[in-house]
Amino acid sequence: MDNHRQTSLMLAMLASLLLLFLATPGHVAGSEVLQIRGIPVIKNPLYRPDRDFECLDGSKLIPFTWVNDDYCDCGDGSDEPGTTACANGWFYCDNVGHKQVYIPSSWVNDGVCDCCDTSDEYASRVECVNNCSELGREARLEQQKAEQLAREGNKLRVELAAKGKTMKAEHQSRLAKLRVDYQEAELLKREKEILKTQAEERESVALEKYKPVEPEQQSATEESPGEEEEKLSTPEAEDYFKILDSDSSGTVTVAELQTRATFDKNRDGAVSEEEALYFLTDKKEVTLQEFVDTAWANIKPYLMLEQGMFKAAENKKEADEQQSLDDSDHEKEEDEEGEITDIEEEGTVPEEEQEQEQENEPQEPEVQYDEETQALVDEANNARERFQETVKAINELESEIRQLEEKLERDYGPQEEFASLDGECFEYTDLEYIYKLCLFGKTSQKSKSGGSDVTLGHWYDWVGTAANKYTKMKYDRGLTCWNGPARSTIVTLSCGTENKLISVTEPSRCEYAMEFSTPALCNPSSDTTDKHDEL
Amino acid sequence: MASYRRRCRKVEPGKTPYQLLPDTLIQNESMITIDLFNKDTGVFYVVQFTSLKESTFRLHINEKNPLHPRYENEYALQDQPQIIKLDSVEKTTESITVVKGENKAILNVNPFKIDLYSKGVLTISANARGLMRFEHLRTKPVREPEQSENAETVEKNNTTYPGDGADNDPGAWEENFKEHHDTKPFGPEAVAMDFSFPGSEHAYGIPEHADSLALRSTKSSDPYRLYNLDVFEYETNERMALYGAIPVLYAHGKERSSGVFWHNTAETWIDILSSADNNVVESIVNFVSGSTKKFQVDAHFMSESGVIDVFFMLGPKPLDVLKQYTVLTGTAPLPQMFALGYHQSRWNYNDQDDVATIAESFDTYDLPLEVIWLDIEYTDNKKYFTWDSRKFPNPVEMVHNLTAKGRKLVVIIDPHIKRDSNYFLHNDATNLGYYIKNKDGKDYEGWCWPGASSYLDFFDPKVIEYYVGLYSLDKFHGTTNDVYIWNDMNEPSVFNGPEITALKDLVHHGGWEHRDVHNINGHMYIRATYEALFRRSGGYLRPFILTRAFFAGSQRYATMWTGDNMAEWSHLRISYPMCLSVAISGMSLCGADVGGFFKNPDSELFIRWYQAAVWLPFFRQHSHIETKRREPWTFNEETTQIVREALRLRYSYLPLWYTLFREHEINGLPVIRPLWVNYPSESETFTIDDHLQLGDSLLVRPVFQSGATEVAVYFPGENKVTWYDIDTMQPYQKAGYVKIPVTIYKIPVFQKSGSIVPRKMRIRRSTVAMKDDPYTLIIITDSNGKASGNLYIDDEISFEYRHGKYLYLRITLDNNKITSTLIDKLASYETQSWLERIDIANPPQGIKSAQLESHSMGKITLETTYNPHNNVLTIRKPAVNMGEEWTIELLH
Repeated sequence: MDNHRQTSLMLAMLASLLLLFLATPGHVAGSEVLQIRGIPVIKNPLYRPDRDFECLDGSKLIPFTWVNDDYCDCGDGSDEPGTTACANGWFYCDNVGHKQVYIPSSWVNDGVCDCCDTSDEYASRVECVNNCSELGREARLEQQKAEQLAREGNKLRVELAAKGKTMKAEHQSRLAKLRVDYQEAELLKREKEILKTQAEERESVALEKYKPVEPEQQSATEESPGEEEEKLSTPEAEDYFKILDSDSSGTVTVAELQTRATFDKNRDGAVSEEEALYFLTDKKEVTLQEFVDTAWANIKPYLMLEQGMFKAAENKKEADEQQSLDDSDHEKEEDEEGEITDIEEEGTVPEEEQEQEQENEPQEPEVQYDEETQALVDEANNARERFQETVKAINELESEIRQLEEKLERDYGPQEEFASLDGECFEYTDLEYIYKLCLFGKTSQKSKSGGSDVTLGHWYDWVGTAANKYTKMKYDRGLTCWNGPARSTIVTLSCGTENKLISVTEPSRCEYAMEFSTPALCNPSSDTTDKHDEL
Repeated sequence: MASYRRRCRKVEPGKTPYQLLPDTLIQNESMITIDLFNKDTGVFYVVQFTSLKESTFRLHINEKNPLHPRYENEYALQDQPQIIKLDSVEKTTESITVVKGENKAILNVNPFKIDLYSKGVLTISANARGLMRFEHLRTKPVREPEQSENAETVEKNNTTYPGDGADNDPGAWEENFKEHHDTKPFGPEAVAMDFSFPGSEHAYGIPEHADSLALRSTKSSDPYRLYNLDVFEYETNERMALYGAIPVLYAHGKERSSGVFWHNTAETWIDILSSADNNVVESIVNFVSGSTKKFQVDAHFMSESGVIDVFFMLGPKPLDVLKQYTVLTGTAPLPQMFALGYHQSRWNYNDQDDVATIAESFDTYDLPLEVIWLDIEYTDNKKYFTWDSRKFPNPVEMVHNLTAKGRKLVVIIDPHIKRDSNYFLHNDATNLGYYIKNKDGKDYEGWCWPGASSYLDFFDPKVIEYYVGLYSLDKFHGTTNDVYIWNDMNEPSVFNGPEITALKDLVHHGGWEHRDVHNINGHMYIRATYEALFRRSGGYLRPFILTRAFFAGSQRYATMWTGDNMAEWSHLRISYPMCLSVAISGMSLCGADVGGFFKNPDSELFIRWYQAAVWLPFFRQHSHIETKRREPWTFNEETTQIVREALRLRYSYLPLWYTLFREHEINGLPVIRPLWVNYPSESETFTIDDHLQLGDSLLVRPVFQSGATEVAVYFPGENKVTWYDIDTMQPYQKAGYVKIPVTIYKIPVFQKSGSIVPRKMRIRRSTVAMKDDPYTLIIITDSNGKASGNLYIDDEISFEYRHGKYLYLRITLDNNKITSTLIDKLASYETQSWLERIDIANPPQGIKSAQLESHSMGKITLETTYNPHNNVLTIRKPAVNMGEEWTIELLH
């Protein structure tokens, strides 16, 4: 210990002597030309020992002996490229065998070997070893590997781009066709509407005489199948009650529902108290009996939805009204056709219209009409049906057009290389969770021990810097954290020969970071890795 | 509400039952001893009144024959206070007068009170209002339910004394706080006394409260409370108890300052009455005073148990009384330089890669950094002294990565121990009986971060010895001498305890109830940690510990911070009075979580917080686990740039900070100061707590409001000094409030005329890298062309300075000559630092050059340049080694 301290003391004294010695010239004396410390050879003409030095910003003329004399004279720091004197200075290391680099002048002689050629620690307490050739070799190998990867990846990227472009063209032509179809359908609809109106006029005149007949059975008939369903599913209701009653208190509470994404009716990422109350028929908590009798009816459709048994309402943003099951049954088909979710989520209006129109449909007559009247009624029914068909067709067309438009508007990269990845999903498993990234869709997390998916974000946009726009994606509006923000995810992309989710972390609570490798980002011509130096 | 507080507050002024018994007087060289009698209870007490060094007297009162010993703490004071011989003691039937130098105390016999005089002027009066209460220990009255009336008669028959009212107080023998039950096996044992400070306009001290620096009257509110508590989301402008407690109170008026140190570690409440916020001071009892306008401050201390042990500090100037307090409780040992740099913390940096990335980013963004901190998540399931091996598989490598760039690691160690039979510490503590016990003698079990937890008893020397051993590098794997410690939750925090702390009837080593020692519990913990870190490096390196709980004297062991604050402007604002308050109470090493612990600051608040925190001693960003990441580069480029400038400013003034901390260690003066401490006769300064002074040379006024375009700066000095903007060197001559325009880029900071401030202008990755860098001196001449300042230099890490390995320089400018002389000629330190530059604001006119003269350099002519725009003369590169004495003459 003592010995060691003595040595270091001597070293320190030596260093101070050295410093004094160096303080005057501050240059690296070599056998050939005197090289100014801290600048590349190419800048030598700016530093000429035979004349006064002009600060590079032209602000001052100083004697040349003041260059690298460890005192900052120039506002731009240009008189001290080789010392730490100027706060805003840069030190150049040549790093022969490796990459040349500029470091902040405050890193000079700071006890950290920053230049592999050791030039930054010329009067330092640490001893640096020149490992440029080693590092250079490694770097070149790395570089080669990266280039190899980029080349291989690029081939795949080119394929992806071609695929993407084809898809785009297909989408465009399909869209063009759909637009024509749409116009035709519009015309057809108008035509059918006129026919319907006419038929209904005739029908209503004919029905005048049957007017006073008025049964109010509608609600009863609608409810009965539901009730039946309830009874049939009582054991299921009881089972589910047990699941929901997570604290086994014998009652299911608002709080217990709020922990389950199933009950997030409006899909805003959180189960509000209002939403929970809806399911519990406006009670704070329900007993098993109450649950089976009342709440189950509200819960069941959403549960089925969650279990995938009930795709019908999957796209329903506003599923507030309790729909009778047979009602939704026939909607099922049309929804399956218009499956892609994102679009439907945003376009709620047509659905509402649809529902309204369905509600407005006159009820099947219970009364026996005379033949002539019956014919008119049948005709009107027929006209209505024809008209409804056109409405449906138009809705379907609109929906498909919207999807296509959205896809066409979406930025799939400069050469559409991400287009074919739209909708593809990738998983990553860590110690506790399985994470899932569905490109341009959503990110989610699921506990390994089971439980439901937690949405970590929905596609928002590319968020890379202007120069590297396609290196970062953002997914936001995920499930809201308790007492916190809505979950969100930043996906950082890198070049790789495989589409793969490499890592997932949570740097801040409810803010996730994913790393995704993809050939779509392998573009040797615009490769940024090479220029990405330490500085 | 605690029943003892109710009983103490109920005491009627002017009717004290206490009287001295002059016949019992015994005196020795520095102390008198005399009996005291309570005519309401018939109980006898012993009064000891001692003369101490530094204009201080000590009053000690205990029962003459207590039923069992009462608790007397021995850990707050630095040493036994140094006694000093009394000049004289005079006894009459009415009073006893003791004299020491310019100070005098008159002990009035009946009613009992003590008047303390400084230079013939009454300064402090104890029990002047007769609020003294000393509940003698008694046996619990045995009362069978049906005979209760009889029992009382029996009691009355036994005595001719009316009693002190505690017997009949239902809260005296047991009490409930919410669902918690306090068994109070020892019954009533409160102590209380009032102190009046005639001539004083304001009272200060008794931290920790998130409130104004000048204490407010509690006439129509709860008293100030001292009871160390883990308060969730505390509010500002409240007198409720927080994490720390220092029962020292200062009173100050234009003429003089004085103080009392109420040496009691139990829960304490303090009522304040101040003439400044009361039109009629009902409490002034017959003071013989000639002055026309009477200022007065009154304080009433009430503690739940213990004895009366009070130190009277007679000043007379603010700096005198602050020093007198640190003579009793000690000063902060000089911290390592890194402690004064920038600290980056978060609950939590997730794993060792995260730590490496954060440290790397500080280089990438060219920001200086000393320490990365790890909060509780680094442990294996909150078992302290262990690591989560999945997240931190190789902590030593992580530490080495940091230290390779001159940086350090701080990890948290909390006092709660996970009750887990697979945890060596829990098994050891259980087997060896090292836990605090509940009233039935079983290991106390509470709830904290790890779940079910127990608490080591740091009042037991064996526990301390065991705990100290845990820090040895072969025991605490993954640590090195570059890993320092953060002690949190040491109030102690108990999630399921009353007010989130321990039950009062727990039992510590020696049989003392937790009630007796609560406020010093956290202090005992850091005291042990200090010993551990001291021993870990063989007494070579200076320990660094951060603590949340503290008591009087904690400055000897640790740095404190203001706990779990919030990302709100009000919390930024309150960080100044909070730190000023603890600074005048002995603890200069104070900081607040930059950016606010809870919630997310916007970029403006974030920037302003950094700019303000540059001027508080402990500079750490820390945030809650549910907040967004907020390292300086996480907002936008402009924010990063402004924060970078703030950090660079801090680092450039580190030589001044370091010098002031050394001076604090020597003379006890606070490093940061409220204005009234330096300008005691300017009444406008008395309530200013949004400014501070760094030593006496810098004046700081941060921006505490969103969207501010100007701030009102108070320039003290009554036109006798001029203040110079440190950035532009623009002088401000007019005294009093001046509106100063501000932009987002900086806050107003000024240097005083006549001062010399040492700086280092080369900002590096860390202070370690800056150690050998040269110094720049900023000289601002006063109206006579003079200036002076000090500079302290040593190795910045070790205790070698205590063996004379340091340089302490006095630098002066007088008569166109700048001189550096060694204040301590015997001390020496081999430094590589040299003098880079001298800037002289308001310099003598017509200077053409300068001549340096020193032993090793001889005579050298130096270049000078004069900048007419800011009126600054710069001396270029004197290049003399700082270890040498030198002169520089300014030549025409």
